[in-house]
Amino acid sequence: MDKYKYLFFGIMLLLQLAVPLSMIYSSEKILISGKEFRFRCEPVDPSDLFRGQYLTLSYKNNNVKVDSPDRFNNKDVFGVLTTDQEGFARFSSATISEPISGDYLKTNVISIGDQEVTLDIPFQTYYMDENKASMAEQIYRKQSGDSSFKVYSKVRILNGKGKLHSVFINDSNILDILKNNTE
Amino acid sequence: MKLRVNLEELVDNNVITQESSTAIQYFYKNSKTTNTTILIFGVIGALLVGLGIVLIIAHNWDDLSRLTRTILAFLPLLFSQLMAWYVYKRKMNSATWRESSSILIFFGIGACMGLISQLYPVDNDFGKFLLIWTILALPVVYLFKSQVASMLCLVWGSWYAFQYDPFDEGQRPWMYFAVFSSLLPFYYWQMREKPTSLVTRFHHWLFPISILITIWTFIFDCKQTLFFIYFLILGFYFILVRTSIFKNYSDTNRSYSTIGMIGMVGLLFFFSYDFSWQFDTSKLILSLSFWITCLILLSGIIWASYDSYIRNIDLFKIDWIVYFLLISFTLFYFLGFQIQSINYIFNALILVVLVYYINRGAEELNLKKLNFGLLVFAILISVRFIDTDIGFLTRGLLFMVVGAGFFAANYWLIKKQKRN
Repeated sequence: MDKYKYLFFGIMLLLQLAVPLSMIYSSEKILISGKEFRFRCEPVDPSDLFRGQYLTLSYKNNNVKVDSPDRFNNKDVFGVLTTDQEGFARFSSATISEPISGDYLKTNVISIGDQEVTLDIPFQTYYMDENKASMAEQIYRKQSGDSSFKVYSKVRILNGKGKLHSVFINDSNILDILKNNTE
Repeated sequence: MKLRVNLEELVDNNVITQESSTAIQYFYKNSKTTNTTILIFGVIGALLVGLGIVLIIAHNWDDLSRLTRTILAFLPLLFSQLMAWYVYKRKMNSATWRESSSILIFFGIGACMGLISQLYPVDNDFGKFLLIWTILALPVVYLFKSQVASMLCLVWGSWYAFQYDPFDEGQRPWMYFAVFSSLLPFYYWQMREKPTSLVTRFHHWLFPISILITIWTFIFDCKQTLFFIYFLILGFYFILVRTSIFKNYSDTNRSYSTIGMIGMVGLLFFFSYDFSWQFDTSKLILSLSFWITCLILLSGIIWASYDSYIRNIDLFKIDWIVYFLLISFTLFYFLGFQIQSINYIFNALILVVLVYYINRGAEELNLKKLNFGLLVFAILISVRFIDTDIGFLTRGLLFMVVGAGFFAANYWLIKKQKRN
């Protein structure tokens, strides 16, 4: 009996370690072998009780033209990715079945319009030092009137799954900008 | 009565023997009070340390490399696991050790997962985060027989369910039921083995409240059913506590029936407003979630009847006011949509409740019941005066009269209690 008790105990401890480790493994796999895309976005700064301060990124270019958009309701959707002239990612089409080749993102539909759907781009959270997150938002607010001003996130995508790598303001990493600002 | 004695003096005067004196000293050294104090401080200490670790991690240490942060993420978890292993092998007899190490492991898991999801953010699915955390911590409850961990798992599980928007037609937090039912055997064990423990009493409040705050996320097809389902559940609480699962525990009766009555009166107040009657309650009949709830409650009632029969006790013999409220609520809830000024009827129902409780309080010399009745009266007056056009002077005078009534009724009852 005692043997089993220790076995259960050991399994519990291993599971507690295995879950975060598998989170790391699957993320690292995407970050290392995924293809890089840049998504245009806007940052705001809320916070989360356990994981601290973060930037919420809201995305542009997430509409895609489709026939009979209602069939996408409450289903997993695969957005096929392409890049525009400026090099930013956008969806060229959306399907319910997983594409066999090409780059795509598994996501869901936020809203359904007339002959088009708006897809959710799930890389909305970028965690930052608690002092820096609000500063990043302020920098954005100050310059957002300028039309040449561009904010985008670099995301790596592999087999439909993606990982947020970093956030850029006018081609400089947001962390570097903040570092220079504080210095 | 506390007896303070000088043991040496008693031994000297041959009142007790030296052995008895040693035994008495040993008893007080290891007495329950000391153990309870250490337990309480152990639990509070572990809770604070656990939360502290989580908050330090929430700072987001950008300056450290990804590898360093990953290693740091595992440190609290590994430390708490090592401690848990030690406790599991050596200290399982001590409640303080068991509870503290379970709390640390609970927050260790949260801290580790929190930091990993900072490093590799996916989507901002806070509900899923809470769920995985709770599931990983669930075995701790049973392996350590930890009451505080059970409480934390229930609160976290409910919090997970609460994250889902009930008005969004997407996913439902179904896993809440898995978490909830996996904690039930432990709840039952606590009622049998530790019926007087403070944490068991907390469970008696947390379980019924957890159902109430989460159930609305599952009413997926017809929001109109929501209030009626709530009323049925609240009414069922009165019978549930009288079944053999809860037998002999007066504390449970208090928490379940208190929540039941406060909830029912709350709903009566809600429907005493005009704006609450904007929907067609007759659509309820078409709602699947309504019928599922009815089926669950009906099986509960059949089981209670069987329990009643086996134990030869009438479980359904509860305060008539509960049946009165259930019947009248059902009737007016369905008819209400067609009746002009239905809110007046609900005001009248509240009046019945308050008169009943004031009367019962006075008869049984029970201050709690009397004051509950008076409180409902005060709230009724307050809310009705806010939405009517009555001068400030009249309002002021009426409030003073009600306030004076409170004092007078309590004074009278306490005096009567003393006389008896």
